[in-house]
Amino acid sequence: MKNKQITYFLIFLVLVIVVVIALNFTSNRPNNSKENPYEYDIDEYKMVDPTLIHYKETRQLKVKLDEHAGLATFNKIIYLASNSKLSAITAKGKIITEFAIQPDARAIAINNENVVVAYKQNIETYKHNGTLQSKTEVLSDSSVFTSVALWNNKIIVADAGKRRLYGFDEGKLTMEIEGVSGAKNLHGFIIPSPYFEIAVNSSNELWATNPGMHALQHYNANGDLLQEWDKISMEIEGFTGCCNPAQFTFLPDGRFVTSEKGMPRIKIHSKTGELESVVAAPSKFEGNQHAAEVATLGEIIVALDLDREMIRIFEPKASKGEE
Amino acid sequence: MEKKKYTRRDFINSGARISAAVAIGGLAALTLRNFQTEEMVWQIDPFKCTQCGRCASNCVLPISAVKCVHAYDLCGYCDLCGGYFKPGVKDLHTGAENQLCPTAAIERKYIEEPYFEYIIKEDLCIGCGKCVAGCTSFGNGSLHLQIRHDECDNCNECAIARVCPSDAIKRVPASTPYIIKGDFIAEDKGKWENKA
Repeated sequence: MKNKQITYFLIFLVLVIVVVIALNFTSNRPNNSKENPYEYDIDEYKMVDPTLIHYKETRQLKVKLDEHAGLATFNKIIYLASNSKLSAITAKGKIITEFAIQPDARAIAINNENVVVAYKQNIETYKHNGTLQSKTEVLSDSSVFTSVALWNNKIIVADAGKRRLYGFDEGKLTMEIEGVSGAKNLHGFIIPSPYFEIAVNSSNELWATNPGMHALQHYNANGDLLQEWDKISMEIEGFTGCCNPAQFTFLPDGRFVTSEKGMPRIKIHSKTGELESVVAAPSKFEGNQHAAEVATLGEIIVALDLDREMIRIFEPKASKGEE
Repeated sequence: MEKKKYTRRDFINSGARISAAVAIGGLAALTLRNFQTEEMVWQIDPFKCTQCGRCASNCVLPISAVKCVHAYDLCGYCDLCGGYFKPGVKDLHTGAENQLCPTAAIERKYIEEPYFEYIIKEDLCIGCGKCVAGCTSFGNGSLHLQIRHDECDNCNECAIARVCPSDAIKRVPASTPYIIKGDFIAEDKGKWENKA
């Protein structure tokens, strides 16, 4: 009799547990992960053919970043501007020099003599020992500088707010490029969000992104468009969204290293824009909001991951003898 | 002279009087407060919304009062708009097979190369947020969800707010009933600010 009661009790208990679990599954509580019938699903585009990935991540350097940061490489050294300081770091993470700069640095460019730091609306030039050499006035209240480069003795900035490239000679504004006008491009630079990049390649060519057009464009000092290529596609070969490629730089031989937002990924394109290989698939940046800023140390790709606050080093797989 | 004793009866009497005074005062204050307080309505904070899809299915109305809105001054640039086109479309034309919206509620209107305006047909929009997810993933987030007050019943307890996983639905004053993106230097602190 007693055993029977225990059995009934256990059956009752199991039923209660089953009901509770069923209710939990079907409940509509906020923290109950319910399938979204209207899911925006781009998972298939995040998959990358492994044979296309020619790089492997070899090192992560934890850094302290504030909201903005600038990354550059020069003479095998990584330069990072953020958190009110400029740091020169080896690829192994050793800090060589460090000096104070203004807060809110957004981009940097380096040559033998100077370190140029771009802030939201002005530029400062430092000696490598941290001595401030010069600074420009605020260009415009609507300026948002996003990239800086040194080209033909000029400091060139990409101004996403004004949608123009500006060139400064000894602090004076001497060049302005508003982008192309022509049959295909009636509008100059299309900058829907503050991702507007410039870089100079080893042939001393000034290239800029036209992110709304998913294009990379080569300009001369007069603002003439000399070359361009674009790739509009959500597939790995192209760029998608409002503002891609969000970041880019060059390999020593002039090939492009591009970095995207939305579906963050880093790729290498030939000089004419064909996809050559993938450095980092979207899975490397799961959950990231920003495009990684990119620079190169020879064939090595240096990526500044703003979301994870780290410099990530990607090396060609072949160089380590690992395919 | 003998001091009058403070009895239990006195204590109860004075307690009752004080309680009554507090109750009447409180009621008066509450009435005054209700009289003076502005009417509040429900609204979605677009900066918190995660496009979970529950707005479409949890509103007490037959078709949700949540609708997509387009902040035209914020963006309209993208030819390959993630909020308008299905991922991976080959052709960028307005054919139904290319459109992301499950109810074809977005009309894409060409303004000038390469600018577009996105007009939401509110009788078709179900507030699913699929376009918002596409726009937010790849664009500026100019498409976002809002509770339309010409349709909302303003229930005491919003059925969507109860299940919203990101706590994005809140009470706002009826005099400023919408939280429209576009003033990106205000609450958003700006995608324009928020970049390396």
